[in-house]
Amino acid sequence: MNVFTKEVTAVFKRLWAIFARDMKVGTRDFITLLVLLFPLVFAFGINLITPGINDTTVNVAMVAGEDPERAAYFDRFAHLTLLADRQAVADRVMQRDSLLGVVRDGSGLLVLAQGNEPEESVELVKLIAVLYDAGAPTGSDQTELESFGRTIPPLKQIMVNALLLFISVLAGMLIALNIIEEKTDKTISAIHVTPVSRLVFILGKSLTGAVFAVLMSLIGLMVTGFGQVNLLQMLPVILAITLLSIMIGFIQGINGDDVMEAAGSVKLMFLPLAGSIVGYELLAEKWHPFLYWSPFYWAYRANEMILSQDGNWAQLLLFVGVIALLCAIVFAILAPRIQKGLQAQ
Amino acid sequence: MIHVSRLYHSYTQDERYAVKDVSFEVPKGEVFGFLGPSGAGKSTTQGILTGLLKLQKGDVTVAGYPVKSMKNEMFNRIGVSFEQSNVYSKLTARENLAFYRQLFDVTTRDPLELIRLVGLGGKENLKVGTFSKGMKHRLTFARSMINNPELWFLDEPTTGLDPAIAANIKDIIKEQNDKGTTVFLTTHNMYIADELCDRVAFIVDGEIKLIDSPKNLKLQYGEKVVTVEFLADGVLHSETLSTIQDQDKARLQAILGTCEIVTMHTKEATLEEIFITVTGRGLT
Amino acid sequence: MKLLSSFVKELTLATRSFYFYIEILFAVVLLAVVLFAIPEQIRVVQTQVLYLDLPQPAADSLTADLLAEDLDGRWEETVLESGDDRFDARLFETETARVYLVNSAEAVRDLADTKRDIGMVLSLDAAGQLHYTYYLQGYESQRLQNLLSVIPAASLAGMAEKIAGMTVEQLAPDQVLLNDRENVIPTLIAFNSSFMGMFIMAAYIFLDKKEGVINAYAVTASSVARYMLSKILVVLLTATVSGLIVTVPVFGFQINYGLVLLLLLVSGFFASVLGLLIASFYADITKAFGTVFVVLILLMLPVIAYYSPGWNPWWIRIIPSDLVIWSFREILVENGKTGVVLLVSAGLLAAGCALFVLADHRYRRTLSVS
Repeated sequence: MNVFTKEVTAVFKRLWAIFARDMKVGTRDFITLLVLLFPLVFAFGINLITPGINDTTVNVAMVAGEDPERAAYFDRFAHLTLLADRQAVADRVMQRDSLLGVVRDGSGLLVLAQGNEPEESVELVKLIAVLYDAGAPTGSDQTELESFGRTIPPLKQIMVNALLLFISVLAGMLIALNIIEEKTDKTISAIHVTPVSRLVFILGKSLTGAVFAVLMSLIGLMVTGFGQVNLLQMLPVILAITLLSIMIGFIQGINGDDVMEAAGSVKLMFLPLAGSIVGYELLAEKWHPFLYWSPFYWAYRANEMILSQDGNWAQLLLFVGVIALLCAIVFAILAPRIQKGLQAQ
Repeated sequence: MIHVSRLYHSYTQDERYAVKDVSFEVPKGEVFGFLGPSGAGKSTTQGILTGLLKLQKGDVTVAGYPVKSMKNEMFNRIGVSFEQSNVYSKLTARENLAFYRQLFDVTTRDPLELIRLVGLGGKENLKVGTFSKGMKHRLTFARSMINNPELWFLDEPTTGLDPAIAANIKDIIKEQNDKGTTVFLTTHNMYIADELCDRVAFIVDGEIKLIDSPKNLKLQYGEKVVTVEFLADGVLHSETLSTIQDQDKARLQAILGTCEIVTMHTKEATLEEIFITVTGRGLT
Repeated sequence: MKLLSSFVKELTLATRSFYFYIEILFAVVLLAVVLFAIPEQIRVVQTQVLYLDLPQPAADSLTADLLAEDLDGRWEETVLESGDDRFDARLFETETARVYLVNSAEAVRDLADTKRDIGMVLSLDAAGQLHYTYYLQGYESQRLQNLLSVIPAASLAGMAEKIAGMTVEQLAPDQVLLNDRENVIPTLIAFNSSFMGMFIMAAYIFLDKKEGVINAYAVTASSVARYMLSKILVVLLTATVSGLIVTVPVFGFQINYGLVLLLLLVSGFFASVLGLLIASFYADITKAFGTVFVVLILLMLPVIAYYSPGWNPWWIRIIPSDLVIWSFREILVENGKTGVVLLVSAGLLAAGCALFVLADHRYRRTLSVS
């Protein structure tokens, strides 16, 4: 084997040793396990919540057994809750949300409202009640519905996009926790007196974060039903934003002395993340330049393109390029501190 | 194995030096001791030799490699045992060594063998976080041998260990040295230095005051007398006699020939006494 | 005096910790989010693209209807882009919808596809009847699709009168509720201020354990209890400051701040002592984290119930944080039940004191030399 091959093999062997050790310790530590599993839980949570969010037309409560056929008709158009009696319906109407009650009043019907429901909801409930009396039509020749065949609602896409960015930040936290462990045990010096170079050490530590980010992102996409997106396009975005998180993770780990400080610092990182998402979704386009400094903004845009399967490589590479440039600027500022922090303790 | 010439190091990047104009050589197979109080510059020097501190000024070669352009492969040939144990508390003893050996490119020793060697046999599957301070220190010491180092850096190897275990550690060091390992030992414990070192360097305030073997130093600074306690007619007597003057030599021979000797001691100076004499400072 | 000097020392130490400032900063950020991202009335405003493929008089009539619902009574001329195409449109903004009136069915289809909004074309069929063509994305619920299918029936003869004739009984038309922005405050202060104290207290204790400070206290004339109390006071101070940061700008001075402070202090005290007690069972934060996390999740479950009016099982109602959230709400609404707030405060204080005695006992029993 020539010298170069031997050296490369040695480097990979050491990278693997560091990564395997980090994973072994990580799975023995509740905090790390939590960080590792949280995205999965979040992904399942998204699956649980989003159908409900989508299922909102109008909410109605009726008395169970009072008028089963009318109730079944209402259920075709409204989110129906059946309660024990009229008082239970009235109590339920009095709660904060916009839910209307439909109860028998003598021979007729009465709509119960709290008083603050939107007028459209009230009109809709009245319409359904009247339609039932007029023969309970379930469709009309006058209506034609055409569909583009998209099965994923926009809110779900926003949540999945946020999850992907969230995963990248958690990758940084994993690294921070890891570095703090090394600092507590004072083991960085021990590593420095082996053939492992500083660069290999940093790469080895980063590997945990990068592998976690890529793996959890893929699993998250599969679990939430986005498995069919262009993963080849997704990969550079995940890696680019993970790079940023890794750098921040190193800084938090090196400068923090305990887990609490690392958690606090990572909490801070969620601010530009959340701000970028909220800004992108809520602000008019003319205000977007105020978000251009945030790598999360560009990653969110790139992810949105890919999740909607509207991704074109030119634009994607532009976004990834901007993220890389912003990361390079952050790196230029942070590199001396990382270097200093990794010196002998 | 080690060549150091005109080494300087300042933590404040100015004229206040932690190590000042330090020069010495350590040939292969020697046990070389660096003796001095806390803050003398021992750890700084060792840090520079092992690459933990950046070389600022001076010419240093370790195991044939110039430190200025240090290559990672140098570490395949050296082992470092730290004063403060630095092993992973969340890994077991065996896992710690198994991980560490993967970082080297040379043949390594079996972790279990090393664990037993330092008296931790039976505890290899316990997480190091449950170990006492002494046990962690022994594991750190064991780890420093994993790559069969040709040059071995030991920083206070017996600190915090009870006499029996300390004796075991000393035996291991002697055994390794007998096999050809060069040892660079930093300590403020003069007994260890006296027992183990072929030569010692006294360092105070960043400067080396002298370098010589313990034997030569004791001969040079010790008094050439012998104190003998003996019984004569049932009565205990004590006399201090010169080993150079003929009169006293004759008297000594007479006592040895006619009386029951109770105790006899040569008045050698201890290394600590020599250190104080030479440097004007204590070792603690 | 010893307690005061302990408190001052603990406060000095805390202000040198980065985490102390994060809590305050986070409260400021939460306030910014509440003020700028949460409107007073959350209304779901749907965007629709509409084309009236009708004879001019009919189209004009429907356009006039739209204009009548428009918030400022006039439309806005605009241009919508879809890829390389540009479409002229008139924008009508009503209370619940933004309606773009375009000039062709192709525009509706194109824009519905690219902008992901609901598209509708109103036309006349062969029999001269109104025909509704909806362009949906595909993820709309079956209920919504069913509704869209029957909406034309509303314009049948006599339907409007029947709808108008239905009786609606308003159960509480004069009730003044918290608006949507104000409504998030109870959960925010319950968690970011009061219950976060559990986590912070545990963290401070573990930091001190690592340094052996607790052992040092145990061999002085100052008691471990005094030490714990002084730490609790620091946590309460942060809780009060962060709670007020979020509450004052939203409610001004129209609420009873005496009650706010009372509830913040007792709930913070309870949470801090809980954190103290949990920390007494573990050697370091990583070991305790599991328990702290599970307890925090349990305490957060009532938040789901708070925002899901139809879901409020009995076991949620006995979780302390549920009592705290609803008590804060009683303070913030007009004519809230003060008695409830005082009762809950008394209960939390009593529970907190009991837990404190337990925690003190545990700390004195579990001192060690390691």
